[in-house]
Amino acid sequence: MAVQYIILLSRQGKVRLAKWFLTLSLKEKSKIVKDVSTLVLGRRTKMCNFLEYKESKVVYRRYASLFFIAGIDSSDNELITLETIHRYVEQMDRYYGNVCELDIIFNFQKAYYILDELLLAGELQESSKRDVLRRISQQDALEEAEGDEEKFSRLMPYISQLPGLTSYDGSGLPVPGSGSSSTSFSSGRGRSAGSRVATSREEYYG
Amino acid sequence: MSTRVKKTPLFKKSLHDLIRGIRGCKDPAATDKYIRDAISECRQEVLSQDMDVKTMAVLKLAYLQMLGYDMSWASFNVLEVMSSPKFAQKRVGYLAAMQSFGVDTDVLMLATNMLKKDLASSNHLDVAMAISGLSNIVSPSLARDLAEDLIKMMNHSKPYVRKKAVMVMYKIFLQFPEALRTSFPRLRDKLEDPEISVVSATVNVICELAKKHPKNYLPLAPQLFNILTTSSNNWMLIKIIKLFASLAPIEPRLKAKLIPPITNIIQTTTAMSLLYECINCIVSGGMLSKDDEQLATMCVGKLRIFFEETDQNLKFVGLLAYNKIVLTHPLLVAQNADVIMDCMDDPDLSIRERAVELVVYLVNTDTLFEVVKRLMLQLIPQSRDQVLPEHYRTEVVRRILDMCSNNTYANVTNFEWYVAVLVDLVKITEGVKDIGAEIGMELQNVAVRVRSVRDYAVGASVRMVTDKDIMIKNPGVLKYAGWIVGEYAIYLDNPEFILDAIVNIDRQTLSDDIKAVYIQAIPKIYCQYAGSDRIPWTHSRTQEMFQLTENIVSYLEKYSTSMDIEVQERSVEFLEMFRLIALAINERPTDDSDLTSPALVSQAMPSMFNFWELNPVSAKAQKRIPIPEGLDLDEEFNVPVVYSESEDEEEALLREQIMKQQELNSSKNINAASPSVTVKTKSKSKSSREAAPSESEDEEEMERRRHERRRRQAEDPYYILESDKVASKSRKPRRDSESSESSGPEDPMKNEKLDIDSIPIMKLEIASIAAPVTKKKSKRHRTQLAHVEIAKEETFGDEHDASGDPEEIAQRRSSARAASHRAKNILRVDARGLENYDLDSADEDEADRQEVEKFKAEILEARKNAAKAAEEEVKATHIVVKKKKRKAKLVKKVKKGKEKSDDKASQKPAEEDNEKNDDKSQEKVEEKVEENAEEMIDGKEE
Repeated sequence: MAVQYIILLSRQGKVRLAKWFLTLSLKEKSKIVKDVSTLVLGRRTKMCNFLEYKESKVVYRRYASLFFIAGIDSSDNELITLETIHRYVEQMDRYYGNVCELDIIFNFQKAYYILDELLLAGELQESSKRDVLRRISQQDALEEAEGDEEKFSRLMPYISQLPGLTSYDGSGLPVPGSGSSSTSFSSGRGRSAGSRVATSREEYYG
Repeated sequence: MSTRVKKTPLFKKSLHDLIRGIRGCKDPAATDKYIRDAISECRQEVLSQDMDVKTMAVLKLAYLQMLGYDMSWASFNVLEVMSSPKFAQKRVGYLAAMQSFGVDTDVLMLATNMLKKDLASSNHLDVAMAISGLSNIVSPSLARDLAEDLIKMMNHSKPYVRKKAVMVMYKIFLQFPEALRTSFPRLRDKLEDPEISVVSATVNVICELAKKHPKNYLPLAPQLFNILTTSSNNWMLIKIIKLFASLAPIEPRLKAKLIPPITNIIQTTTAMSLLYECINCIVSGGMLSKDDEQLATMCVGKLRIFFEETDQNLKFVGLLAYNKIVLTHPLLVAQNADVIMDCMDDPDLSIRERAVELVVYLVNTDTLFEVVKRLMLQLIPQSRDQVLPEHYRTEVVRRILDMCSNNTYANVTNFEWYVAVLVDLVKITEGVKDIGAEIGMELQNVAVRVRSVRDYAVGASVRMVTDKDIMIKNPGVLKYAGWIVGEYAIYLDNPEFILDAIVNIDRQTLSDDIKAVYIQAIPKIYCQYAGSDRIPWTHSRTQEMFQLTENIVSYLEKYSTSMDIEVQERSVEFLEMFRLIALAINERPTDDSDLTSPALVSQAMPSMFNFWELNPVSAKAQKRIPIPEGLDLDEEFNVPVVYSESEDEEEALLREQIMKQQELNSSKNINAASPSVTVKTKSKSKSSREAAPSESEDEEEMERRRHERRRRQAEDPYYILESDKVASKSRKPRRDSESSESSGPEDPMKNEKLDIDSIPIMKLEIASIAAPVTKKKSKRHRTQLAHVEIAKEETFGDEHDASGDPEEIAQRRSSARAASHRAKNILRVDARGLENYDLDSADEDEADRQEVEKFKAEILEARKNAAKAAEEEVKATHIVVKKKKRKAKLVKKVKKGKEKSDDKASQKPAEEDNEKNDDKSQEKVEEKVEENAEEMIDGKEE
């Protein structure tokens, strides 16, 4: 198996994402995370991006404040694993629009979805950059369509009560209760245009 | 409806709130409490009837699971969310399942139908999600139940689904190898899929499969080769090349075919990863034999580019590749010694480590000094806080020892320098665990082998033995230093000084194994000092000696009650001797009338130690001593009594035992003809057999028994079989020469008692063995190097000693590394099921057999026709010719079919007449096992 796991680690050693292509118990997973974190965080910038850990290899690369770590089989190609990591970062960058750590923290599920389109069973499943994002946006669109439908059905009672309202504009209406669920579900959606400035993100996520 | 909507938030926190809350916590304790509270909220929420609430709870739990909190208790709720009709919820459900389910999660049993439903969904996104999910949670039963559905998916109209289905098949195979057989044809077809991502996925899967059992996938070679030469997708090319690296070793013909395209890629590609993979393939695919100069030159030359870039990663992988090539082409790699040496001082330790590993092969007499100096400088800490990690320091010391001792010290010209290096190493590795012993062993080795440096080595050892720092910080070396001081006491300038020092060492300071060595050294040094005739035994000296002897006696008394058996035994033995000596000294006249030393000291004691000089003996020497004819080491000489339940069985057993005895007797008779057999074990076993009733020999029966025994042993993994031809190969346990040496002067005595000369090997003149060498009577082989004599290890028979072989070093190294990695690997990928999974067994054979049968029938018919035709020859001659032609064609076909099937299942008995030769095949298998065993022996000896 090419990639055994992918871990995203902050500089402070916090796990931002952990995807396992092996079936391991929670205990085993935490052990690997702990060991590998210590190894990777102890590296300095001038060092190469490969490590040996037990009988496997660890390939990592730092992007801004995040370490992207991949565990691979000892017979696997380190260089191409670096490429895979880079590909993943590129995809996220495109999807979130100038991705930063906060995007991944608050929309961790999206990061997983992208990874699931990029890798399957630890192997690269799609080498076309465009294709991965196309799939994700298809899925998002499907979700959105469902969400709109639901909103519509939930809002129907209100709409009928509001006199004079002829057209429905979901986004303009305050949606109490269940509405907040759909906001947080789709908070990543609609902002993928990349128009947002990265600095405002801290305020955005609160 | 409206009341529901008006209700205040249905769940307390959204994912957003949760994450913000966690980020808001100041310290770990607060975070933990916050998370625990959140989890207990989730416990309520997952039970909610509202799917949105449930989904959000599951999503929150998935987030917390990532942080290391258990969510296995929510498995059932995850399953509920997975089965939601809404894509958004389903997506969350699958995500949580992938993150939290293990193969042992019991709700997986309930998942089968849901997955089946999703796989059959009309929405391809649902299907894809189910496949992705399955890739993470597939259990053996899921694999079995869903294999069929997935195989169908491999032909889905959307390439998106096809590609995922193909990839997930690998996971299915891992859990349910049978699926491989049914899906293989389809998998094969997928190599020709119009969509590149599907082809790529197929290559990925086959590449993984071929790692386990390459033979199955050889038939795909033409298709794969086609992809190799036509594709330009680097991701896939890397996989294809990796795949060929697995196939090449089992099909030698592939090499010639592969080298042109791979060479082409190497020369044209700009992608380093692909270039690296190609070189890797050539090396690990076994395509680089010793005479492939040109290919090797190209690889080595291309790798040099890796070092000319500033990229550390390229350096690292370049060194990895060089490390592989150096085994076959050391000279070529040595041409790049400059760049490799530079890496030795790289700021990155992992690069340094690889470089140092490589340098071992590249040093020669000219560069050794320089390299060792550079490495030693690294070991000296620059400042307090800049100490290199211990494992790296250990590694460097090992490499220094390796490169110096390589090839029986071929590179060392000045042994005083080497001893000085060893002494320095001891000093600078203070506090590094275990390394002291390795350095000490090396010092001992040098002292034993190089006579000219012994003097110097003894001086160094004396300094170590008396050094308090070393006793505390690096005691491992003392075991060997102590031995050297004792064994070569003749070189001591000041024996009484060292005796004093040893006797006065505090009891607590040293460990028992070092004490044992010291206790052994004391009498050696003592008799060197006291037994010397040079100093006359005047009255004052007598008194002095008495005092010294008394000191030693009290020292030994201290240890005669030690809990360590070795320390106790040795001290008790020598205690008695020293008491006698003290007595003898005490009885001497008080004036200077007798100036000779007491006989006990001058004659009796030295004879214990100085009879023979100890020489290095190859670790394999013992193994090479041929077994005396007639000695069967596999024979039990004390057959345990077996109580069986039924009387019949007992009787049978008894009979068998009698048979055995008969056989033993007969072999004993053969022995009787050979000269005196005095090895203890031998005579013991003989006497035990004496009691057996001797009966007339039944040759046939004996043969049968032997045969049966051999077969029994073939099944026993603990037996290495020997056929009659290789009777000379012994399976005596290998004894470490080191340990036999360090046990010191005891050995000659013991050996004498054993009466080595009368062991039959001396008298059996086996032509294949050149002049047998006993351990002590030396016939040393020396290499002349500069003017230093280095004693080679003594061994038996073939002088092709491999102690300095790079292969052996590599082996030693890898075993050392393996030992360091011995900790259980928790990253296991369980692909054992695929390892021995042969696609061509059973079913395919059946098909082949049918084919052959069909051809046979056709032949028969053809023959009949031919006969008929012969009758009608007169009428139509030309028809016969035609028929005959056809027959010939058919015969050819059958033969081909047979070959094919034989090829496919090499161990399988021949197709047609396998009924009658069941026994034969059994024999064949036995032979095979025997051959393997022989190979094993040979392999070990190399």
